[in-house]
Amino acid sequence: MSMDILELIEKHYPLKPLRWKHKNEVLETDAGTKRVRIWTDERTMTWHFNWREQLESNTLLTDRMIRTLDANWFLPFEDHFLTLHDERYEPFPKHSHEQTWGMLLGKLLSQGIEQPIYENEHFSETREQMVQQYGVDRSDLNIPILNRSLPEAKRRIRTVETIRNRYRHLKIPSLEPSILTHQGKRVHGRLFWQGGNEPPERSMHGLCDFLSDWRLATDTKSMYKLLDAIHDHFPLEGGYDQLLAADLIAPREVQRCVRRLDSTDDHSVSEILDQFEREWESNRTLVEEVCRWIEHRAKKVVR
Amino acid sequence: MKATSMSVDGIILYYYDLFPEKIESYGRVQRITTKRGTFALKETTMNKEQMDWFLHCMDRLNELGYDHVVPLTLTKYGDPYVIAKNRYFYVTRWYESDSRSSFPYEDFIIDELGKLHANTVKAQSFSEDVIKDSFNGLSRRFEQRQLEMERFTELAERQTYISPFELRYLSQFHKMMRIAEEAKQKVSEWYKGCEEHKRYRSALCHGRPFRGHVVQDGLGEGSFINFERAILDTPVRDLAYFFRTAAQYPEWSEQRAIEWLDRYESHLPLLPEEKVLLASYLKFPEPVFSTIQLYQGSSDISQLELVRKLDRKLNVMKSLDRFTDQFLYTIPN
Repeated sequence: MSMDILELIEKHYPLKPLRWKHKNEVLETDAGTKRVRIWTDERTMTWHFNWREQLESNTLLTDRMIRTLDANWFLPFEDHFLTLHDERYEPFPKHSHEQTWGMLLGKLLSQGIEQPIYENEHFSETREQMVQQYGVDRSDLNIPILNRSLPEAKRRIRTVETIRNRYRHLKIPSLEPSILTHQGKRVHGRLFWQGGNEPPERSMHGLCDFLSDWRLATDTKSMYKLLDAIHDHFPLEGGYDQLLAADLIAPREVQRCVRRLDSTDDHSVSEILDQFEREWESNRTLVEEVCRWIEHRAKKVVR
Repeated sequence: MKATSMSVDGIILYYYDLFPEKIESYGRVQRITTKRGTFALKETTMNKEQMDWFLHCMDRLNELGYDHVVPLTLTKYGDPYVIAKNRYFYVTRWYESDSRSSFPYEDFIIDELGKLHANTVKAQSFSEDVIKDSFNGLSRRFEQRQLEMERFTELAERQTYISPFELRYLSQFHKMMRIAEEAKQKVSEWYKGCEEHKRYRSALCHGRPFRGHVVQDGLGEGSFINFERAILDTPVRDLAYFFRTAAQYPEWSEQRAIEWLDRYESHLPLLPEEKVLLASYLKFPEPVFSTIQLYQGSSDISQLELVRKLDRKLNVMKSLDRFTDQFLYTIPN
């Protein structure tokens, strides 16, 4: 398969592939390092093409789809589609660059609202569905640490449901399920955002993961600056701040823990539970800090 | 033009995946040598509207199948340009351009202008107001220039010691005024001709057709570059620019100019009133006027150089005047 891809690229793109750096994923070419993405779903691919094209500006670069010799942005590949992207490695700095990162996230959120992919623009999960989705009904695993946290996790789901009901008139942004700081690279002094290829989710979950990642890499002050900068490009007040808090409150650490337990053998259970405790604690701190930021902004507005 | 080495904003090269081995500067154009070939990077002064028009013209030429133009190299994302530092930049393949080479530049330009204009010429629906506006604009411009030349004459005559430049200018002043009056007369004739025939035509004009905007590929085929000043206007606009600049090269003679005009007309015969308009453009001593401006505004050019320049312009003016009289002679009464 790998040989076919290299031949296909050489035939259709204005560059010459040299060798695979990571087989079937990243290749060296005479025009720099490139990433190959294979898409099984055209609708997902189009969604990813659109946000990359729309987000790109003078100050913000994205790993847009490189054009073929015929000026197409994708190639039919077997029964799927192939796209080619730049691959960069130098990380974009975080400290003192909160404005730039905030602009990126704010724009991702704004576009996430405008880009139609799902008919339903609002949260539609019931509490029962959430309980099941987050694995909060999994007392069958018989793990005391986990079981002790399930009542609290259920309370958190009720809070999520209450907040979502209160703001159900708001459109929920479509975002990639995972947005992490390592996706931001530096290219000629600018932020170059390398997206993924997962189907989008109508959820603030991606932003929650990003904030958690940011908080671990920087500090509270930097996170507040980042939230301020996001707010400059995507007004969080008026409900989105609450929906963000709701998504942070959702017991994803329970969900992750249950998944890990389901897919592992016994000897690493203690490690999984240690990780669960760390994540629980880390998320609690994050929720507190984000809620403090929300309160602070609300006071500013009242004044 | 002499090349100087320089650096280019990396973000522009990023959009084209160019990894330069060498960058040489030729004014607003950088010659970028890479393993993947040699490219010309042009920094433009165009605004958004002008850029859109420029791209529209390039698309139109492509639609027409006109292939004597160097196409734009698109970015890796299919964009025709890059914006950096609030300027538009575009890239083309690099072709050599040496105005001193043996390439028959004028033959090429006049042939291509003929084809370009013939392919795009369009009889405009006659509007008296539009013609009147053009007539008034051109007459006003000529009169203003004439006034400024008269003012320069008065100032020169008041000097106790007249400079060599002023002396040379004054010796030709009356002749220039006579030719300028003839040019104005031709503008009036053109206006009357349009009114009488109720017609005027426009074509896609290159804007600045001269040797510096012609390049050759490896096989010696010529192509136009730089359609940044392209405009829909009377084909006379390009012709006037062409003859004015061609008259400055040693290959020029009135006989050859007549042949070039014939060659152009083998593609697009000019209407009698268009020839009259061309005569008015060519007769008016515009090149002399620009030399006066240079004299008044420049302190770092020697008197000797300025006098030489003025002499060259006066010769061009006289030569163009003779050429104009020749082709006017062929217009049926």
